[in-house]
Amino acid sequence: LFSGVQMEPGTLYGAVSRLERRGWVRPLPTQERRRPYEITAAGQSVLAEQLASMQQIVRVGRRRTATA
Amino acid sequence: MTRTLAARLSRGLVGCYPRRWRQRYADELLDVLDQHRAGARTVLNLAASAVSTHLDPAYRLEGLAMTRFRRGALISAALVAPVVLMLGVLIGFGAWNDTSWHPGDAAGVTALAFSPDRRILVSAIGFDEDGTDTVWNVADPAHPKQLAQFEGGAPTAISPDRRTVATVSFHDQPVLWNVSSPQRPAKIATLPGVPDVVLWGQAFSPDGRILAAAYTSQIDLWNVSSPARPRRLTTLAFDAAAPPHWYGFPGAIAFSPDGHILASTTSHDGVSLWNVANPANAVRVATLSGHTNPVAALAFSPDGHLLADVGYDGRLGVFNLTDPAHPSRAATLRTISGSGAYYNTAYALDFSQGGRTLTAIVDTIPSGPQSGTAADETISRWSLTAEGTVSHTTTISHYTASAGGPLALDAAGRTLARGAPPQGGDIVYLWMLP
Repeated sequence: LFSGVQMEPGTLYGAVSRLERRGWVRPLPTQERRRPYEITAAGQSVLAEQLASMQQIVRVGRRRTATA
Repeated sequence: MTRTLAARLSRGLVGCYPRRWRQRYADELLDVLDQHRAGARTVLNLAASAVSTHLDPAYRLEGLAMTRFRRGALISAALVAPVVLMLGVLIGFGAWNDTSWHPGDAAGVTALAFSPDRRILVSAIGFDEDGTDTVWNVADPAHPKQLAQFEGGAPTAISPDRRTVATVSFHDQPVLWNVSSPQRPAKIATLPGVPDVVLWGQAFSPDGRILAAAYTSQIDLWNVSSPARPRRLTTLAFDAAAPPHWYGFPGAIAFSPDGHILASTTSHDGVSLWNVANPANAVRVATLSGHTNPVAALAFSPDGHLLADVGYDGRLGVFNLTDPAHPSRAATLRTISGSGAYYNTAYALDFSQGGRTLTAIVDTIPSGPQSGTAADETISRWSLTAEGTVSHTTTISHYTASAGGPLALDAAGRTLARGAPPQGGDIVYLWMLP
């Protein structure tokens, strides 16, 4: 479903409903029993922020696991 | 649990979600379940999700579909109870009592730097702002005195006049500290960094006017003659074809004693030399190679004619830089037998006796950086001719406890500072070398 990550439907729809309520994704018309969602502008900016913070965690983690 | 039972339970559990949620998502979720291979995990997951959706304030206030909710709650309770019981056992038996963790303890001592006159030692625990830097007066190594302490962290450098210490911010920007008044160290300036790259090393020029800030992508040269108003002079780009410096491998960066040459380790197992006599028009003049692993430490001789580098391959090179544009290899030496290693070896390197003696310290920790605090330490000394060829070798190997952290040698080659390893706390050991 998500770039090779297996997700249980309960987890998936828990996430979808929270993302939609925060206005970060919006549903598109159903296509043959599949409901596509698209990311909103607000979702884009929150995602960018989250990725930047994850990157920071990765960088600090890499330094801490290195010897000096 | 059979597939059909799991599928039936799953579909039933969809009915246990709050009504308002179901009006919006039930059809979609049922469609997804039809296309999903349901198992015990699916059922457990749906039950937990349904319960958490009920606890979600956005849905909690509506009237519950009581009968269906009770059935769901019963299934959920049966599935969740064993997990809760297990957590209780874990907590009860103290498996999760790791509450005394402190970032500095975990990282241990992360950097050590002597002032050029070897009177001052700066030690860092932890990285960037969640670390701590301590300035020590080690003029009498047997009686070190703590002068100042501030929230800086590694990497770090101290200016030749001992008034300024450079550390790094959480966002990899160089930070300058005024430590001339030991009781009140003060932050002078935070320099703009380079977005999304690691600041891995810093060095002051011998006249203290230039700070070189080494990132994974480039080296920025700053005029810090007035530390409160730093000016960027130029940016030295690393060779794009050979990535500059690999994350996690401590590198080395140093100015030549006349301040004309800047030497920096690169990830292509070598050292790049820049002519920075005119910093605004700095140019790369040469690349030193010959290692099979990245370079761990480098040192200039006091007259600047020789440069020594030691790689994580355990090999040591001495280069004659009389003509910096055409360096020639004067000697190839071995610090340790075997091929060396990245993660469990620490190196220190320095010239003394006016450049006629080269000292290398190698700590080889048997099994990984986190697991041991004992090392085989090899102290190697070479007598060199003015051209850099070797006339005499002395090697002392001994066993040492509390190793695994960084090493620093003073310019006289007499005092060795050894930082505590990860988990080793805020301890610096000073050793007088024979």
